[in-house]
Amino acid sequence: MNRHNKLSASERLIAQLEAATAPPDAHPQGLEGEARQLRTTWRALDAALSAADDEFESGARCAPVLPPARSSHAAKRREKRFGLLAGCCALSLVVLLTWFVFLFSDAAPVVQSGAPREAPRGKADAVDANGLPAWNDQLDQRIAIAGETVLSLDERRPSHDWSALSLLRRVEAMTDEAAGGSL
Amino acid sequence: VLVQEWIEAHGAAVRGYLRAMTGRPDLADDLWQEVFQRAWRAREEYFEQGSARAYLIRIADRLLCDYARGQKRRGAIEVQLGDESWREIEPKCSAPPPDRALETSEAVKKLWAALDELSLAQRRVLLLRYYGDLPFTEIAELIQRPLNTVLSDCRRGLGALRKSLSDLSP
Repeated sequence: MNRHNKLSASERLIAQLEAATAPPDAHPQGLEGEARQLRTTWRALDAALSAADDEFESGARCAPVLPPARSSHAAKRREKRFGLLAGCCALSLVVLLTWFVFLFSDAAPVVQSGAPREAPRGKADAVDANGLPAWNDQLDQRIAIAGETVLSLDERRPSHDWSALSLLRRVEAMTDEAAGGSL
Repeated sequence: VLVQEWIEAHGAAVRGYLRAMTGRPDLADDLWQEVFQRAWRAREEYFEQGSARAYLIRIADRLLCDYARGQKRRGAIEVQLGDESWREIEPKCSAPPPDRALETSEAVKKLWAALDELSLAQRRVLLLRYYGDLPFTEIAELIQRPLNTVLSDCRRGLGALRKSLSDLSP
């Protein structure tokens, strides 16, 4: 019996306190005595907290941070993959450009054999024994000779072999010839 | 979209709870952001429960407990959220920040003074009830205290507030 009374007293207290501390805009019925006083205090607390909230809200509200759509780990992995792909593309581009530079620098004729030469700067009026202009500019003359040497190397080549090894060999041959004094 | 709705509907209540518990807007704002991140990560748990407000306030309360434990590790002192030792590690708990001191109204100062008169257990129970609208049985479960103790904290806390807030009553 005592236990039953104790339970009902506890339930009554819960009911009273929950009514007294119901949301401030609610209007709980049947509040008497202490419960009514508690309700008044609860509404005073509400007024004070609301005033404090208004005051703080004016300055310090942060922008809400929404959770990321994907995990940061996945984003890092994606960035790494993209970086690797970009690196491969850049490397391929560099190799291709290098190959083209070699290709066109070798294929472009420096001097066309038998073709009439344009008059270089500093050309003299006189001609030499071969009928070529007697240039005063020694550098132009050297360039012309080097061009002819390259062409002759080109003719000796069996076919169009543009591999890096053949290019290297031709460069070595030119170096040897230059060291031998033919250039 | 769900988080955005939660922020709009319950963001102010969660912030209010954190500010009233810590007394520090900077700390409250940090924890506030963490509440919504955690709420999003554990949203499946929410769908098994009822009110979104109660769910968010529970997360806010757990975060405060975690913060208190972290402070305990740093300061090597025994700290519990419902304990007076909280004030030892948060000496500025009830004081407004210096740059806001001038603009803080008399009413707000009275509020902080009134809250300071409560024990931290009383403050926690009253604020969980106020901001989370949690039933006392759930509050007792959340803070792991007997129901009668929670009811007593609520009653005595309101009694202590009666005098200090009497001139603020509507």
